[in-house]
Amino acid sequence: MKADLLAAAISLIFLTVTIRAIRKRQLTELMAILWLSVSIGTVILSALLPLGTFNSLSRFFGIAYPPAMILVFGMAFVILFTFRLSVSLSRLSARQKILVQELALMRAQAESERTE
Amino acid sequence: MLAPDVRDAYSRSCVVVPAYNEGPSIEKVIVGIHEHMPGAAVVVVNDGSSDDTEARARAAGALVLSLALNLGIGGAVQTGYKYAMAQGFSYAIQIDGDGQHEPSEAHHLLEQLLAGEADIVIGSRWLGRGNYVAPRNRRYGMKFLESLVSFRAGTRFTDTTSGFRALNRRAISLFAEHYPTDYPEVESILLARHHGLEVREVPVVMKAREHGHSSIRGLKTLYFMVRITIALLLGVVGGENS
Repeated sequence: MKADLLAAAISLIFLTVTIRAIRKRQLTELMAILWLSVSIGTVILSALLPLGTFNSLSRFFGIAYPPAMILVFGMAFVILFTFRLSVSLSRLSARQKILVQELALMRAQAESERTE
Repeated sequence: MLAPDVRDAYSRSCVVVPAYNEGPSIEKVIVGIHEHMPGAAVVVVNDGSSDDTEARARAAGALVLSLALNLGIGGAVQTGYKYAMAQGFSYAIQIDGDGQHEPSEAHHLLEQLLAGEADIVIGSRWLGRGNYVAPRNRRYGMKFLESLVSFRAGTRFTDTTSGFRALNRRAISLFAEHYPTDYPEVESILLARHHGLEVREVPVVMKAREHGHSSIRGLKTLYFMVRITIALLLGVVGGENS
């Protein structure tokens, strides 16, 4: 029972943190929607804990030890998400490189026009 | 004395000098270029140096393209090629800012370009001229790269990490568009071959580094080797526009 309460508390805190971040506009729209659904998802999951739905769900997936189900899905999410972050980080640094180069070229151009 | 066609080519050349904290050597390099490559435009790409590289390069009479952030050698060199492309130069010659490459040797590269059989000419330390000696552990690494690249490119390359290069307009236009970021020398050979460009080597004399260290050492060596091996196996590694 205590564990159920702990899970509920953690997921509610996570939901609050997400909502605050969204209101402060710290996340882009896509990321905001993603994290909002994740935090609502965890709230629902923790509410389901005391009802035993969890055990039947893990039985459905053929996972004998119910908490392992969380680990499996959690890890899958984390791996996919960090991969996605890597992709966008690479894209950002490629774009940043172009901007830095363009800036240097334009600065040189402006300078040569000034001295002419 | 330079042959008339080399003189003419120099007057249509842009010398690209990537420099990161090369304050102690940059003036000498630029003076050498002015002396041995008459008529060529000198462009120093200052890759976010924290020393007086920019001021010294300007004082020596070079045009300086200053990057607001340190991009690494690949991003710096590419900036020079973008400049050469936009300004309509027929040839670009890349010379390191640390004094390792001798401007008096550049005409060997250019002559090979003018012969019309290559789009990119690389100055190699290991083709018999000069007596450059690399530390032993580096030599093994270089040998390893050399055999991989030679295998992949189908031609023998002896100095894949050499940054002493001459490019014609076709090569400039490719590299202005696509150029590897981290350790670009090796990958750029493969990139050029992939786009159907002819890459040749000519023997040159190189000096040992006057100050500072190679950018590739320690754990970075491992990263470098792994990266190059992957690049050779999968084609080119690197992101969009890299």
